[in-house]
Parts: sequence; C-alpha cells; structure tokens
Amino acid sequence: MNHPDDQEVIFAVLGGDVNAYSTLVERYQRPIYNLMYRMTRSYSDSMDLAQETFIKAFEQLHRFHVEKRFFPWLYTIGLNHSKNFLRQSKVSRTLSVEDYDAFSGLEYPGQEEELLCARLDLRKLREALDQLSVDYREALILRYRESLTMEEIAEALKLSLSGAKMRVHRGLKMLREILEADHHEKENFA
Amino acid sequence: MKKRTLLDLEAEQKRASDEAARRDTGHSPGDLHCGHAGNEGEALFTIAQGIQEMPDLAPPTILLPSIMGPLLKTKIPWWRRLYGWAKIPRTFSITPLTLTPVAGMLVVLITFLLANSGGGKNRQLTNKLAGGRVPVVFSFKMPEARSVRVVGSFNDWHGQDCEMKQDQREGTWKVTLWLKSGRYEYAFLVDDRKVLLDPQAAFYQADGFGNQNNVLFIGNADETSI
Repeated sequence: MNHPDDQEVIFAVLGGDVNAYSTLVERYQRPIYNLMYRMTRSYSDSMDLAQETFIKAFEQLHRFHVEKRFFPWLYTIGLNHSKNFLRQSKVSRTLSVEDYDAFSGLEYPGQEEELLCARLDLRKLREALDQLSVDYREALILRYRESLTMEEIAEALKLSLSGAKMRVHRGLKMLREILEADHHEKENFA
Repeated sequence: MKKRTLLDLEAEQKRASDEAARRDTGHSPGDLHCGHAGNEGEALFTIAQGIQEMPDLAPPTILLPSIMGPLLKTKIPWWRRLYGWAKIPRTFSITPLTLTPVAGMLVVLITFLLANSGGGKNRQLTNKLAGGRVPVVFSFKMPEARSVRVVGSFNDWHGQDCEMKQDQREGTWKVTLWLKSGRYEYAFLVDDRKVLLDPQAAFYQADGFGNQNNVLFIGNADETSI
C-alpha cells in the first residue's frame, strides 16, 4: 500500500491545492473504510469514522513528515480515532456468523478442504481474525494485506521493530491455533 | 518512462505481499497447495496468503464527496499555508557560470569583513574622537567643599558648564570635559572664591601674578596625554 507519487500530492496540498487531497482519499478510502468496519461492524459508523479520519489527517497534514510514507501515518490516525470512538461509545462488538451475511454478495471460495493442506476457507479465516485482539489483527492486516514493512507497522502501531515482528509472528500462530481448534471441533462433531 | 497503471501497482502490491509472507514464514507461494499437515511454516504461509486474498468491502461512493465537500469550503489559515509552502523541498540548479558572480561577491564580502574585523576597540575610540576631542576626567578630593569648578584656558577661566559633581562616598569632585589636543593651564575654583591647584598634576607654571596654575598636555589619543 504505497504510491510513489504520494509525496508530490502532499506537496500540492501543502502548497494550497485542497482539491489534490481527493487523490489521497480515493487511494486510501478502501483500507480505511475496512479498518473502521472491522472495528465497529457498522456501515454507518464506518462511513462516519472514515470521513472524520481523512478530515483529521487533512487538518494535521502540515505536521506530517514528508519523507515518510503517508499510509502508515493515516492508518495510525484512523486506528486511534476508531479506538477513541469505541471507548466513548463503550461499544464492544463481537463477531457472529450472521454478521458475515452482509458479505453475501462477495466471492468466497466454496471449498471445504483440509485446512493445512489446501487453500483456506476465507470465511473461516475472517472469523478467526476477528477473534484476535485489535492489536494482533491489525498487525496481520497491515503486513499481509497492505504489504507494509515491519518498520512501517512498528510506526503505525507505535511499537518497536522487534515488537512489531513479534506481534505479526504471534498473531499468525494464534490464528493458526484458532483455525485448528475449529477444525478439530468439527471433526469431533462429525 | 512508462507510466504505471493501477493494475501495475496492484500487481506490485501482490508481489510485495507474497514476498513478505515468504520471508516471514520461510515458504514461497508455490508451496501453497502441496504442503504436509503439521508443517508449521507452510500453515502460517497459507494463513498469510489467505489474509491477502480475503475479500473486503468497497467504500460507499458518497465517502469521497462527503470528505472533500467540507474541505473545499474550509478556509486554510495563512500561517498554515505558509508553513506548508515552506515544507515543500525545492531544487536549485547551479552552473559554474551562475556561480561565478556569486563567488566573486562572496570573496569581496569576506575580504571586506576581514579588513574591518581587526582593532574594533581602536575604531570605536577613533569614532568617538571624531572632531579631534578626547575625554579628560578632572578629579579633586575635598569633602568639605560646597562647590568645585574646573577653570582654565580651555574655558577662558570662567568655569561655566564645568561644575564638578561630588561622589558622596569618596568626597571627590569629578567632571569629564572633551578637549582638543594641545597644552592647557587650569586650576580648581572652590566655593566660587578659592582657587586651588590640582595636587595630582605633574606640571605647574607661574601665572605671572604671583600664583601658579597646573599644566595639562593632551595628545592624539595615543597615550601622549599628560
């Protein structure tokens, strides 16, 4: 999740071209919106929080270190904003299978193959991901979905480099354990 | 240079993610379908690969206008625009031809500064002495006097504007006069009636009326004053 001309766009915005900011919004609205959805499980809250995150980033853009990458910085703002929102609204949402019905229009591989020998059931993977704490889940998303480097993950999640590596590795292992436990449970029922 | 399309960027992102998963788990994407159960590295790689391929939500189409609408109406404060403008790096090209006059001016400036940097104190003193005058401090110790003036050839023996001020702590009367270089005779007029000599003076001379005056030699601020 990096675009080489982010810096040029940011310079244009800093130079007074507000309209140029729409390039950054178009580029990063998808991951930010999905982050908000993972956090709140609400479409309307995700929409509001994503909007507020981009406006906040715009207002703080003069504080952004232009030599760094924009997305991890934006992600940090979004993550903190959504955490504050959850804290204030005291919303604690857990994922249920029904929640995924909202995704019914999306493509899921329908194969129910052996977990470790075949391609993952992405729906199960999503369920497992949501059982992780926010810190582990977002570290994995940033690493494997948004392709951030460990240094950038450390920066986005306010961790040391070794802390970020540990978060990713432990997150992967925890995810595996959840998936295996689920698999064994189904085997026992069968 | 070929411009990169969105598809190119997505392909690059996919490659980066594959590479990240391979580095973190020690497996390549080719291992994905042919692993053995219990192989932890392969399992983790499969999971990492799954995270990458997981479908996500498309943001609502109104998200972009809902962000840009308020921003386009916002008036950015001048100081923020100035600060933002100042943060933008700029490139300056320098060729030897453009550098020559600048280098020349620098040499002239440095030479001028070096030529004028020495003897700062002397220059200050010279400036003070513009007009050829030097400060001369007259001092006379007589605590019991009510008033003391210095009278001499420099003020036609009138003592006007030459009234001395007493330092209460020491009982000494003092005044500073700006005098041109030359030879002067002087004395102190105490309480407007008694004329007394300066006991600290080096030279005396008879005034032709049976009395004596002090003699003062003023040089050119080069330590020739006596």
